[in-house]
Amino acid sequence: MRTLQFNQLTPMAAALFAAVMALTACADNDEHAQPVEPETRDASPIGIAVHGGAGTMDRDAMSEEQEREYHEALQEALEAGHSILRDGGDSLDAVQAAVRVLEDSPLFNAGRGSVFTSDEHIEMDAAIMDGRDRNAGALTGVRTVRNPIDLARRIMDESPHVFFSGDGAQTFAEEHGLPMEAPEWFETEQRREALHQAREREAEQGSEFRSQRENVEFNLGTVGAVALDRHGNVAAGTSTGGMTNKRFGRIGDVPILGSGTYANNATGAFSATGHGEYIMRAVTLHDISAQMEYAGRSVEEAADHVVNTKLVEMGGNAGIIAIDRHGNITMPFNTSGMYRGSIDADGNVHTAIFRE
Amino acid sequence: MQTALICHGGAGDIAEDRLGACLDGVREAGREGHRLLEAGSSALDVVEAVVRMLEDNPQFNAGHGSALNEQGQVVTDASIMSGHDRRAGAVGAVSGIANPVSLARAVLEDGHHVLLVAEGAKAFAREQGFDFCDPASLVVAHERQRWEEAHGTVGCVALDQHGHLAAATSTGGVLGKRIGRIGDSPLIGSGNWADSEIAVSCTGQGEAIMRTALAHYAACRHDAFDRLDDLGRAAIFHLSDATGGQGGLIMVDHDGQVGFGQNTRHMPVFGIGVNGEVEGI
Repeated sequence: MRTLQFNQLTPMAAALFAAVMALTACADNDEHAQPVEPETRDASPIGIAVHGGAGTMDRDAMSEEQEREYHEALQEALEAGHSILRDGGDSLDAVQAAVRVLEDSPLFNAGRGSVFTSDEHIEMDAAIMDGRDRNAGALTGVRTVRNPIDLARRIMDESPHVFFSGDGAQTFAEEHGLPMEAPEWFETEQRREALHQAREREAEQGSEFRSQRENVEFNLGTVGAVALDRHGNVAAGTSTGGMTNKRFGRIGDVPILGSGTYANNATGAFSATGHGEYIMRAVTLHDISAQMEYAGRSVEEAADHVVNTKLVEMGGNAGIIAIDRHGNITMPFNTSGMYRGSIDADGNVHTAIFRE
Repeated sequence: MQTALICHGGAGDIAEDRLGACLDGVREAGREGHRLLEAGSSALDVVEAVVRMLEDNPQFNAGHGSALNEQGQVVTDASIMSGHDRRAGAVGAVSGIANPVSLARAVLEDGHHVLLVAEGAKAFAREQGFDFCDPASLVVAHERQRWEEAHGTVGCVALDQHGHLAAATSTGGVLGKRIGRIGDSPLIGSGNWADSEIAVSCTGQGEAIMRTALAHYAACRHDAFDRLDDLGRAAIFHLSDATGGQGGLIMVDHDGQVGFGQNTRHMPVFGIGVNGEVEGI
């Protein structure tokens, strides 16, 4: 875990943080500098968590420079969302802003930097969900929409439907004027190399490779965000390029509500990453939410049980991020690492990659 | 060991003159499914067989008789799930396949993926040797005439002699639906669910069912109710309360109890369980 120091912030984030600290100080002065009671402080907590994928991660294989890049990208995403929450904005806008940052970063398997399908295209999936009314927007198989999370939001806001696939999603995006990019904008050499490696492995091991656990390492980097705003509303958003070398219009967990993305004001907001087939077969996030709502489990207990017991028993590699309606954040994973970060109700900023 | 089964022919408004034929359709398929269970067939085979019968029945909106989308095409969705090992397969937005539930079964058996859609699902079907039919042949006359008539899905859940549960759901989707729209039927946990305790198939307004993950919701609440009809009522209340949506669901549990719930005007249902024969319209 990396607990953030000011000198580790990017300059822009540091400036914003300084501004917030100053505002907080002013607010305290208005309260006659009385110590803030925990109940008062927690009356309307805000918080955000993000992830950039879970999977097999080797600390020795990652340079310090690479590690720093990941921490910075996670911090930038957290700050993009948290600044909206601090200003009293909506959790939906916060998760959308955070996911957009991670989509634009070539480090992660979403938006720019998405993995390649077997026929060397990029096909992206995304979903967003509003905890207030559980309205949602989801899509699968878009190729040129710059920010799939923005398309998910437009589907939620402007369509009576929830989930669009392929040409239908692309047409909706064009009709609504979403920014597009040429295929080359999304493509990175690293992902093309991963496709070639995956093909070689599949040629050696046969089709079994596709369902094997280590396959997940070729799909690292699904991104997601969950947030709680001052109004007590939670939201979740997730975006991905899917599986390297995927065929047959395969859809993973990301756009499936209750599996890869879920939000409900009665419990919290959740986003998953990992081997999508297992995440779907466990309806992972709805299971966590239901355990909180009907079995009285805390977000930590429910998430830990589903990720570290149920999914492990099924053989599913995965990680999730969750924030409950009180602002408690938990980020369990059963892989060796998960790119993740959070800013909790007390304003503590953490980013981490490996198991702690 | 006790076997049990219940099947449905979709929740919505059905024209009075078709009610009898719809009820006959679920009765006939349900009785045949029950006979297969008693003869030792697996729950997974039986839910597939029953849904195929319902898909083949032009009274219902799945396979033959599927709803036309806004381009006048027949596009179908289906899913199937095995409870004890939670294997699942699903297809979305496929055209030209007479029995989508069997394509979903092939995805389950292949085991690499859970959900395939559109052209990709067709490519998989070709690789698996499925026959393609002219999509127009799946459109029957009364379908073309009844654009305005409601949603339709078919489904079946079953418990076999080994105590295994399975669920299958298939739909032609919503009439006049937008190209590429995916509903709840192919989504595990929304339109379909099976584990070692309960199997559930849902039908109705897909968007509302997806937003509440209704099939999995019913499974999560199973412990709180002694009677599945009460669980069905609670699940439908939840659907309506959380989203204002309309729909129905059928359930079978590990003890062989069958039950259903709905807030739509009609839902043809037939089942045989430890609680006897169950029928509804």
